[in-house]
Amino acid sequence: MSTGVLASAISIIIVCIGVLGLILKRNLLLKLLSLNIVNTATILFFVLVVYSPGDRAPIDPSPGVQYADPLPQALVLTSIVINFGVLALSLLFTMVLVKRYHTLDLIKIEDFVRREFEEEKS
Amino acid sequence: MGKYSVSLKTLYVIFLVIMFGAFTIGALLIVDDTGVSRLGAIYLERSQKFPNISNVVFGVYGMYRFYDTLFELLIFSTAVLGITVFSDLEPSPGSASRRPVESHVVSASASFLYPIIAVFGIYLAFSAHLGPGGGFAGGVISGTGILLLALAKGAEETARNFREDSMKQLEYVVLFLALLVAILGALYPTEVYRDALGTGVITLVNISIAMKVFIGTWAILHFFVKHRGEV
Amino acid sequence: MLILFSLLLLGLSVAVLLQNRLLNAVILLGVFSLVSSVIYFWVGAPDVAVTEGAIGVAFVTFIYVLALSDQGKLHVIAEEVPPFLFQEKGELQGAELEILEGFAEKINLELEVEFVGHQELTSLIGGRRADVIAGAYFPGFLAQEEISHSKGYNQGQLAKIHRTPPGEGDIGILAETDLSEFTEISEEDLSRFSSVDEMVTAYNEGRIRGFISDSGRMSASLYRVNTTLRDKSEIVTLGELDYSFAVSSGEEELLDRLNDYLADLTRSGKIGELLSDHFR
Repeated sequence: MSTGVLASAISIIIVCIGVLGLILKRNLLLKLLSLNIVNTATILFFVLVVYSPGDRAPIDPSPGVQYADPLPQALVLTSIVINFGVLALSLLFTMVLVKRYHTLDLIKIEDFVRREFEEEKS
Repeated sequence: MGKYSVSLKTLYVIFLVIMFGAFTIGALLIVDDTGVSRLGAIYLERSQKFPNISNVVFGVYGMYRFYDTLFELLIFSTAVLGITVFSDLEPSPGSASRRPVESHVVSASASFLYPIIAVFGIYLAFSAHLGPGGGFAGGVISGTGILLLALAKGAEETARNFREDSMKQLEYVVLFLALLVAILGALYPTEVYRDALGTGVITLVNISIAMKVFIGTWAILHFFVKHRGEV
Repeated sequence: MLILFSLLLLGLSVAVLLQNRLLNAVILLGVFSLVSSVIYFWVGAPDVAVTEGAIGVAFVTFIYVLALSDQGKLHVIAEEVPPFLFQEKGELQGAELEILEGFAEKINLELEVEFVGHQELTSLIGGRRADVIAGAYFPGFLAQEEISHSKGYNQGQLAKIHRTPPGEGDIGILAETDLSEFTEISEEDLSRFSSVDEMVTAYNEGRIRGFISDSGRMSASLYRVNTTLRDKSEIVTLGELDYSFAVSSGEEELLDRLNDYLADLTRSGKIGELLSDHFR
């Protein structure tokens, strides 16, 4: 069993922890933090799952030397930036919600929204 | 509703997540032969023929799979567009009165450090095909320099110095540049692309990625420095 | 070594989610990114390491800290009532402003005062758009169960002005004010107005035979409309009242802190000086 596979198994556990936090936490900002953890752990998984000990960085390759797989690296490189943009956007929406309802608690916000909706209907 | 005690539904969800983890880890440990799935080997082989790209990771995202990067840039600019639209819709009420950091150390060191940070970012962006770094990191590092300036001198003044409006237009120009590179790659066969355009295309790719990320980062930063402290 | 670092990441991710304070969680997330960046470098992915270092460690942490840098604002809504809380030449002034400023500083919030009409007060505080009602609020001023009020900081009277030979017409009163504590005028005799200014005008025009208001608001209004009462009038004191602040009834924590602050002010005697400055 290679170290890369074992380490990527650990990163799957981190993904699970992050998803649990995403579901169970009531605080919006903590939800975003869990989302961040899930992102980082997924990237970690992609990089680690193809790792075998002794890999060198894929720079200036010459035949006969063992290099790390460049494909997952290039793909997750773009996904880091996307995660960042999405995080900034969702943080903005959180700020808008906080400005409106003065709380970070998702359950309270849901109650307010439901009450507003019923008021509008009646 | 209201109470968030552990309900049956929550337990079910927790169970599902744990099952997902167990299955994935189990599959990983059973297969345990990652050597076979080395898709990148072909790129490693191929880039030995390209003398001017020594960083194979750049070769993948800047050359062989540039369309991936192009659409990534599109997604990123969509996110940034959302932020800019909100920033225009809801002007911060207290932004005009909010003063920058009142510390001479911070403001003096900011104007001294900013050029160094910017040059480092540009260096990373332009040497993406040679060594580690790349346009993404370079753009973000230049953006961090702007963050320093915005914190030291105030968001409004920084926005004025960097000509916010022309920056917004430049964003689309850069996107167009990336599109142009992608179309060029599709029109010409690989050999011609490599020989005739060679390093010029690489520079175009570097510039478009770095500028796109830089402008996006800057827009995000500008919003957050302006609206700071509202959560 | 790789496994060790991965386990460190595992521990950090659990630690992030167990934090009570958000700032600690954000900083720990930065450390999490830093460790993952080290791992990327370790497994031969320097590009990913540099990008993660620039974005995950520096930028995301910065953005979170900027969003958290201030725990928000104490949003106060008020009716404009000199000398309680009012605007003069674009600047806020008044006795309540000084109290609220001290309170906001104590609980680390930035004070933001918005002047709204009388009728908007209830809906704004009910929808949690605002934290505190100020501007010469007294218990019974708004007949709403959703509002709870703080301790009083100043005494006042609820007074009734009426013509000496009582003529035709109703008694004017502010909308939503609850009078059950003070007097037993039946609802049919009352007509509701949205501001004291309107009541004074109506009284002078003879549409109502008298009106009820609290002393602070009444003198402010007479001063502002800049008229005297036209007919011969009599002032009857209906009862004593305490000027205080109000918060939404869900915000017990805020109310407790406000009460503590007011008690501190009373104990140190500052409130006396403050009131004598403003109410001459």
